[in-house]
Amino acid sequence: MKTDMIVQLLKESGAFAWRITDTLTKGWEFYFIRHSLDQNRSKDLENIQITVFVLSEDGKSVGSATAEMGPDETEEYVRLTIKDLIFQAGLVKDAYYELKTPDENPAYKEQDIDINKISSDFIDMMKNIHEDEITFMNSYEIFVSSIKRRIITSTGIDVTEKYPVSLLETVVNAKNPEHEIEFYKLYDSGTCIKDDISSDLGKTFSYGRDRLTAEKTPSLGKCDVVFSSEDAVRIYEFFKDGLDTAYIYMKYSPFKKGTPIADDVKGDKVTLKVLRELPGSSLNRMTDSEGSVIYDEVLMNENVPVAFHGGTKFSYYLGEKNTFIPGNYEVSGGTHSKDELLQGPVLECIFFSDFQVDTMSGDIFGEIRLAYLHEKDGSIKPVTGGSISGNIKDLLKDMKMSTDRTRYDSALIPSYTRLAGVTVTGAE
Amino acid sequence: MKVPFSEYLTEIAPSVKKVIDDLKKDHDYVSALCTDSKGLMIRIGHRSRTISNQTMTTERGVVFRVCRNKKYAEVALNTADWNDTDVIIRFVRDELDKQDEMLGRLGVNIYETGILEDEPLEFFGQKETQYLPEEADLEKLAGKLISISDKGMEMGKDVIECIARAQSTHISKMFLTPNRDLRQAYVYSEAIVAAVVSRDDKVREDYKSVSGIKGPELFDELEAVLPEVVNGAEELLEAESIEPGEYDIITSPEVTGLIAHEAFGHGVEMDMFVKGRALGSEYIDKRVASDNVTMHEGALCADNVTSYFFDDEGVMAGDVTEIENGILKSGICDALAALRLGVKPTGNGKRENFAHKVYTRMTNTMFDSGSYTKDEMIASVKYGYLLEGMQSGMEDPKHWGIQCIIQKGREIRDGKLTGRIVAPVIMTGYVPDLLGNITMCSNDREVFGSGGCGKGHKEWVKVADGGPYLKTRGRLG
Repeated sequence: MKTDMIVQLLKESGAFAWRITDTLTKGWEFYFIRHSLDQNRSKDLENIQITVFVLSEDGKSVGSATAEMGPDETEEYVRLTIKDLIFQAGLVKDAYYELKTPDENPAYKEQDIDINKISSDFIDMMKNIHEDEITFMNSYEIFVSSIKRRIITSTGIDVTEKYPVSLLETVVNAKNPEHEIEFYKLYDSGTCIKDDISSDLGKTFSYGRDRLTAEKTPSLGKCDVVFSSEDAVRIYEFFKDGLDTAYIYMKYSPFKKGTPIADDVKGDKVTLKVLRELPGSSLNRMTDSEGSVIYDEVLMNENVPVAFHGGTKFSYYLGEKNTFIPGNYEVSGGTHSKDELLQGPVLECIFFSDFQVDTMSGDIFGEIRLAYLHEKDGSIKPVTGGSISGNIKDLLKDMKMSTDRTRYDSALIPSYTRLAGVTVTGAE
Repeated sequence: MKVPFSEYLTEIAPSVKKVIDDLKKDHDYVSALCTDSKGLMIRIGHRSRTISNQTMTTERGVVFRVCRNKKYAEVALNTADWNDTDVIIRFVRDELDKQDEMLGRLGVNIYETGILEDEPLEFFGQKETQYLPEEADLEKLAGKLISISDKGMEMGKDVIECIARAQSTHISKMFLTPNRDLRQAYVYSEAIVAAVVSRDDKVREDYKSVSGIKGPELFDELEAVLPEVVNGAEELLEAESIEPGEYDIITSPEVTGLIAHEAFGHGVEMDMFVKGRALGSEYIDKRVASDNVTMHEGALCADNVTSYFFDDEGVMAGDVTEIENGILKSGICDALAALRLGVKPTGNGKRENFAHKVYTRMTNTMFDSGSYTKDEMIASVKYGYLLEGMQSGMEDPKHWGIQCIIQKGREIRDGKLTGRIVAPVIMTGYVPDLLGNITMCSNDREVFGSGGCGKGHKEWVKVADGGPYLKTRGRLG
């Protein structure tokens, strides 16, 4: 389907405003059981999304309606769809807002994304993962895509970007004569970041060995917990979401610019900066999903919000200019070494069944699959089972972070995060 | 009315068959799944409203599956011009060749698999609906949802947002092979109402849902749950933390469904047996639960959002007895996993959409009912909790661990609800312990189909689950 044809039909439609997002995806996928190919897949897709905005008669409200369609629709179908969208948008009006008018559209940079080469890199890397009789790859799935996205709006946005997106799903097993365990991990990235992934899988094998001998987690009541794996990203998403214009406008977040997010903070304070580029991230883009230009900016400085970001509608309501929907971000502010943070007694959580932070309520929870209990005397014991729970709104008052940092896809965060007073339900 | 089958799919069928016939010349097996599913989604909040033709299952495209030299491969596309099948054939062959060249160059081993069955079969199935989503009276529907949202905002003093979201999808799928032509059309719908409350920087949310294999007429059922939702959310503002420990518990049907889904839904997906990822494979015909437990899984065992006629591999829907009086009898299985395990497929091969791979996935996962009333069950508890509302769950099929995040627990003392509420609640434990301790099941049951299910943390599909109230013992934190 020709995007130009849709643009012309939208111009003729009388809509107050409109946006088209045309996404082309070429993807290759490879599925392995141990190191044998289960099946290979290829996909060639185009998805076109049209959003139409209508203005109320009194000019005080705007409604929007969205339709997605494939590339093979006829001009007549598109014309009728736009007519339907204009009617539908009139049924769901919000307070008035405007789409952004860009100063300048970032220029399109053609880049050669070779999905054959990226796929080969992943397959080759996984073939050469060092395994032994105790720890090994149970299975893995490789997804590699080249995506070309064009966003056009009635207000002058016209940006095209091409970027790679990759995903590696891994299942690592460890076994001894008594039993066998597994750890599940996903690696999101742009291309194959061989050194990072291989190194992390090596660590996972080591954790697998420890999980085999882990004892049941004792009932610890309230205790200090250290997060030293990707699950810590969930904690920092509480801060990132709380700085989103939608959360602020909807009153889900109480964050105010210039006011610390908590009183009586004894621990480290969070500084959060959003980034356009973070090497290795799967979210490196010039613009967000609405075509707004992404740039680097500090959103929170030592627990004090200094800027909010988010989608067009809610940003307009808050009077925030030049906003975008953030992708990559980094967190700084840690003042502690790894050794200080792992000083016992503390439970260092490595793997959960599914660690969650409800970024609205602040509740945190997760069933422990592997943790290390660091005792006061320096002894360390692997434990499994039981769960942790608490509320980040309380826990952030005594949060300590390491100075060194680790990147997990789109987030560069302190490698070690210690929370005091987390409830640990034992498995004994 | 009978749900109409896609005119688009009817039109492209001869061209798809032409591609299949060509690919069959040098492949041992060829099939195509063709989809054309249209939808409607309206989300009404106090501060933000949207309408769209997209739902979780709207899609249009074709995926070809081929097998040659005991290796399976797929090519999915929606960019084809079906008037020019030569171009499509060249594209599919070219993609397969390029991938084979790369795999050969890297010396990749193949997981050799036999040839899928292709016995002749023709089927055309249409379910009933009152309305189609694409023909719904949107003005009336939007008005209804706005009214629900407005009433919710006025119902409680702490309510900061009340969201009513309704979605309906008209599914059309066609599965073709050289010998098979299966076509189906049905409509399913789901809706939720959620209330967000806030007091002193404390924010809480509660919700209820309705779902069914019917059209937008389902949305008439939504308003009835609104008072319960607003009251439920306000209760959460008063909730206390639970003292961690092991308790007698009674699970509401929604929590029962979550346990069914996590415990012996994921735990018996037999593509995990192929990979050696599920402990369940070692427990067939062995005890995994108390005598009071019988569980079923299948598109035929309830009428809800995923009650189709055939799955995404052209296998007719089934009703599998997974657990019978506490004994694990069978898992569920997609066609390729069945071939590899030497068993019959159960009609559980599902894709997120045509562009995604098939995995063994759940449909309706249900505990059977028992003979007690809910009141009798509460009266039997000395000290424990009635658990209500589900947020999420996760399983460990390799070790039978389970994690359920539950909205709230109502305290029971001496057989009576005390009015004290704890929230949120995380229930963890070992599945055979949790199911082995089931001593009572209520004489009713409910099905819930408003959620989605991932395989690991991706590949989202519609599922439904449920059952009766259960009395068991579990670890809460």
